[in-house]
Amino acid sequence: MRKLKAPFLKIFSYFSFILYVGVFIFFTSYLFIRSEAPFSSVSIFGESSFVKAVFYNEPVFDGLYPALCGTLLLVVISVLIAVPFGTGTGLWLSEFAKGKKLKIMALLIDVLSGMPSIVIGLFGFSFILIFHKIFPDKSPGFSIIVSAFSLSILVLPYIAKSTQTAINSLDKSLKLSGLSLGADKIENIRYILLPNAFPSILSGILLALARCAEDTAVIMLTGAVANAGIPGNIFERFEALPFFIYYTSSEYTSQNELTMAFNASVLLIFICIILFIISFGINSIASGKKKRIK
Amino acid sequence: MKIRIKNLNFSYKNFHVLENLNIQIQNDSITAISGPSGSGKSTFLTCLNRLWEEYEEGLLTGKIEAKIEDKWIDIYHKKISVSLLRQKIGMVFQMPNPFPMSIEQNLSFPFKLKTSSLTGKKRIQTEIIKALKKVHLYEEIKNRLDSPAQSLSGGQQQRLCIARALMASPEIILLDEPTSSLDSKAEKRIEDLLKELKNECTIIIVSHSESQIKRLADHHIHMENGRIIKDIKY
Repeated sequence: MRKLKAPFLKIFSYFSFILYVGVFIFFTSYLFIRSEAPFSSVSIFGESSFVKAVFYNEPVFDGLYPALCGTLLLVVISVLIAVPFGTGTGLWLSEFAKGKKLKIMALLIDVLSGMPSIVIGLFGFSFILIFHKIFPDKSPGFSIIVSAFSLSILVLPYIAKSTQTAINSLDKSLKLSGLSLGADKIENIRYILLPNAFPSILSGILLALARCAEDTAVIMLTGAVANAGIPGNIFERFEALPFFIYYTSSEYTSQNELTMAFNASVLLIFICIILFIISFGINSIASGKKKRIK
Repeated sequence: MKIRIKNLNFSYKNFHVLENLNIQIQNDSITAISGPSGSGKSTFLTCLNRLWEEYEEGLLTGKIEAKIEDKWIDIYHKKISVSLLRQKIGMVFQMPNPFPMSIEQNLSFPFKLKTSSLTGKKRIQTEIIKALKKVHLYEEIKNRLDSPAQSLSGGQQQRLCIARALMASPEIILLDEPTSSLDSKAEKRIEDLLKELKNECTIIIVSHSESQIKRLADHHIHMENGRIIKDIKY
């Protein structure tokens, strides 16, 4: 019986791998086939041009440029909010929290990381309503800043966990060597732990970036709309690729509109692939260094 | 005398790691600590520089006094600065653990902690050369001080770690099986180095090798189950 189990497991795992690769190839090929020159000027800038849209701020009505800008802006603001607090939380978990505090905080982080994004979106939505009731004139309203703030809550556990794991996985004697030389805890974190754990922390941040880029549920409840153009400031509504895909594919009136949704999908996948390649590259460099150390 | 230990007990999660240790360690000597795995040798070392406080919630009772800058200090006194204490009681670990920086940056790190950030580059360079010469590494690497410390061989890395500990001008150096991961040639170089260093520092070394203890030690403590079984001064 034991002799039979091993080949079965091998065949099953091989089959699973082939199935996964097959689904991935089919899925991405389908998106590419259904799209129409997604990286072309017409697809991104419509009837406008690169120069007019980028340098003269000419509104783009029939291209993906506003959604692309909105997505990138959203990702940058979300990560700017989430990175300091996420890495700070991760550092606290790995270096300062002990005993019950550590267990409770780790549980809370796990719960937050498993929370559906629509719930976080609802939190952002409620925040806008409550804020508007208390300060009717100063409410940020549905805007890119509220979306970014909500998204940062969504990705904070990823960054915290990756920071905690990165620091915990450092060699114990390396972690202690700075302290044994007379460095205090803060100096040890600044000069030894963070530089050594940086590649792993950065790959966690890039995964969080990808999560920010693709989430729809949060932004549709907090500020994303179909036709807002490029926001003039962080308190304005905005367009984003995932919302554009959702909205266009559910409300399209012509084949051209549906093709634009596929173009947006390809652009979004392209952004995510670039982020994953960067993350993979950083990890490879870091693991290469570790191998050399061994 | 350099270190006086009275009735030292250390327990961790209801497990008694060290039991009633009474030890006196002489100035400028090499004290070797041996014993089977789990006998409390490494824990004993970390009790001397309070490093256990960084990763364990243990309970320590008893008294450890060390003569630092010609004054007897209680290592666990509330007013003692742990950072300053660890600069005076340096430590070298079992595996060579240079920081992933250049050789020069590795060596300047403890010196920058010890002195102000305004310390001139020339003075740091002089101290680096002095430390490298002490561990007989200068001639081997003098032309590549800016190359990564991890590009050195295992033995060179361990000598670099000793030089790094020396940069803080310690009076006591703790070594936790420093040659266990090295070949016999590198082991011999480290042993020769320790014999030279004992003229300026008190050395406490954990070792599994009876022959190494015979070659190096002025004082041999054998531990089992957290207790001293043998305490011989040569």
